[in-house]
Amino acid sequence: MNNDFQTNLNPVLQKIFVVLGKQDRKQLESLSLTLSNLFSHMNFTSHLYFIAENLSEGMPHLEYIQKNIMVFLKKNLFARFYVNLIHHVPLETVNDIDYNFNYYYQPWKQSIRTFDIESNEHREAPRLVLLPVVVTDRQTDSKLLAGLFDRFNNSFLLPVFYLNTDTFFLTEDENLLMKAHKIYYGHSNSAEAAEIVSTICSQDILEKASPNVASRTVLMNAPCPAALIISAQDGMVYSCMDAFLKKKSLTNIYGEHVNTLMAQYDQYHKSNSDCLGCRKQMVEWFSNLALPKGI
Amino acid sequence: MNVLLIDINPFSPSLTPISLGYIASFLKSRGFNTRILSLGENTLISRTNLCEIVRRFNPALVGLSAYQRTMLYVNGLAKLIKSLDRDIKLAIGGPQATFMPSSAFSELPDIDYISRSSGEETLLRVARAIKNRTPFSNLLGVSYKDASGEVFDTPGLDAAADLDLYPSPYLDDTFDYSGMSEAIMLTSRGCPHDCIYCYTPNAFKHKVSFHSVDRVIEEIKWIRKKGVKRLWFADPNISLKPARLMEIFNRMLSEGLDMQMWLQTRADLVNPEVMKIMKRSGVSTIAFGLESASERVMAKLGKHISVERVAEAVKLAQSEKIEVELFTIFGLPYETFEDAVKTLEFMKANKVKIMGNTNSQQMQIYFGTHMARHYEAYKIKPLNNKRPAYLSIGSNYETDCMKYKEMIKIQNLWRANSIDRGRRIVS
Repeated sequence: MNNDFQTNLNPVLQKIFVVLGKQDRKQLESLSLTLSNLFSHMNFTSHLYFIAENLSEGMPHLEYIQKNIMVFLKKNLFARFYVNLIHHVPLETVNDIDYNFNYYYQPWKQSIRTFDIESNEHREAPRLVLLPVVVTDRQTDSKLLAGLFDRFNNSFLLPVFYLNTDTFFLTEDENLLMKAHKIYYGHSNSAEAAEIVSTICSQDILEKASPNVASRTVLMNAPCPAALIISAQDGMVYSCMDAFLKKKSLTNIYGEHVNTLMAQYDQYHKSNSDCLGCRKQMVEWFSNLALPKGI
Repeated sequence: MNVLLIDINPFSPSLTPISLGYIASFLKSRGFNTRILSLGENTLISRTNLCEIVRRFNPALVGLSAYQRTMLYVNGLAKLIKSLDRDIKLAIGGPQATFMPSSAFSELPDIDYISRSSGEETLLRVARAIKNRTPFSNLLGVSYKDASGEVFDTPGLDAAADLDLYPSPYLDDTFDYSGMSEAIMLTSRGCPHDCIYCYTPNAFKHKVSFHSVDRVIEEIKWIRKKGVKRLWFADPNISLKPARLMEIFNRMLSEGLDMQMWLQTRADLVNPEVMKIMKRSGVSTIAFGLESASERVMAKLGKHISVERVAEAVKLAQSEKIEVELFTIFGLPYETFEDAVKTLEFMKANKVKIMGNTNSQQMQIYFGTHMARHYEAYKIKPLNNKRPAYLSIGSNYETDCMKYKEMIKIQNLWRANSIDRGRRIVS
């Protein structure tokens, strides 16, 4: 198509990462408002990642923010969002599966019932998809995790797990792998937000480059997926993975209007158009990856 | 006057929107400044940018491609565009629109026209009416809702019998070649057959119209010159006239038009001679419609082709080392779970890779099909009668012979046997 009318448009965000912290009510309201205003700048199909230290603190914050996600989607029927909650779940006994599922996940899923009804009516994938991303640790019992994933799958929550070097052993459980919608591979034993963001972004860049590898064209000829990373605790906003890891913030959401934020984001990327920082990070992530058996 | 044509499908990558291309070229040739916006799963577009595009281009008419699976998204785009400027007129067209009941207007509050006939001809009349500031006068081939909300249906309109009368979206550079890896071509339209589940024969009144061989070759030469080396022929039955197809391929060979090609046709429209020249010309994949490997089920589909004939065509293609794809559907009338398993087994027995288009899907009961009109006679039971009027039964049904749970079971069985976990390209 002759696309001259599509030139010089505003940047389009494909992913937003929010590192949840111990923000107060006012900060939460401000964060939620900022995100609501950013949705109009996001791709029609986008991913939101909320990184929580634990379920009990993270879920209420996510549910609060999710109300605005739902408002946006109800007004904009052409949009689809994947909401990822990245968190650790304490699973020591079978009772923990029931407790966590009934207390946290089930109400979370029920809160988007209106989108499930819409999806069923149109016989199409829902426009709001919830993905619990479970960060594993050395104590994670694969059988208990598989049990939790069964509950997720039965409720149309898409289970994802996040492995690190301490938990690669879980990939030996084929039954567990079959139940997972996706797996992220961390390259250290850390479960810090920086490590998680680095892994998800790196894996994303690699996955996007894979078709190029298969067709033997240039490995990475497209820009990195446009992402914004927000640290809710202090309000700092980062324009990409590399900037986040180097702590080079763009602005602060608790004092800046979204239009200014997006203008700064645009300016940053225009003046760093030849930046290879994220791709370099991806190569480092990949070269340090202890690939599990069979991969 | 500006016309914007939009194709949205968030479930598959953006492909060359060939039908919109034809409409755009035709409208351009009649003096309307027409652009296409193709929004696939890989297209980067935000609400803010879509609003900006509409503001910049300032269309008086927006045409939206409508499919069963994208109706929600079409409705959403219509709402957004109308919210920007109430004066912009909105039309839907395409497979879902042709036979959509006019009662659907009540659930499509922002749509002004439903195109029923040839997109080129109906939209030209709509565009002219809008340009003349009489947006609902002298229309044919559409249903419309006037300013007071009253709905009118106009008589149908025939498309040109000679497709060469429509300008080529390739030759007039309607399409941007910079990101195009594969060109979709439509050298003919329509189908003369009577498959009870298919929309095409009724939409084209069982007639088939063709481009001349010269026009096809001219397009291929231009596409090749632009650096595109893969062709996807979207004709329902490209070998309907075998001599014509042979001529196209012979010309490609004699003129050194080296292309990789995908095409589809009926299994009873190929023979060793046709298959050999396909191979020599660069056909890498051929797709046939098998639908079901149960002769009992096939006999009821109006397809008039035997399972054995399909198997022979598969072998013929394989003997020429042409990759084979088979379109199949489950949940067909009178099909049992065991019949559906036979279809899966057919793939294995005939060494057809279960991936891409060979991944089976449940029958979709679309508006305009024989099945949609007579579903009760085929013991089809819709599962949700509360669906919006713009949606047909689709896949939301079970049959006397296959219950909903069995449909899910056979779908999972296909996925379990699939190389790519069931991702289809053509729907």
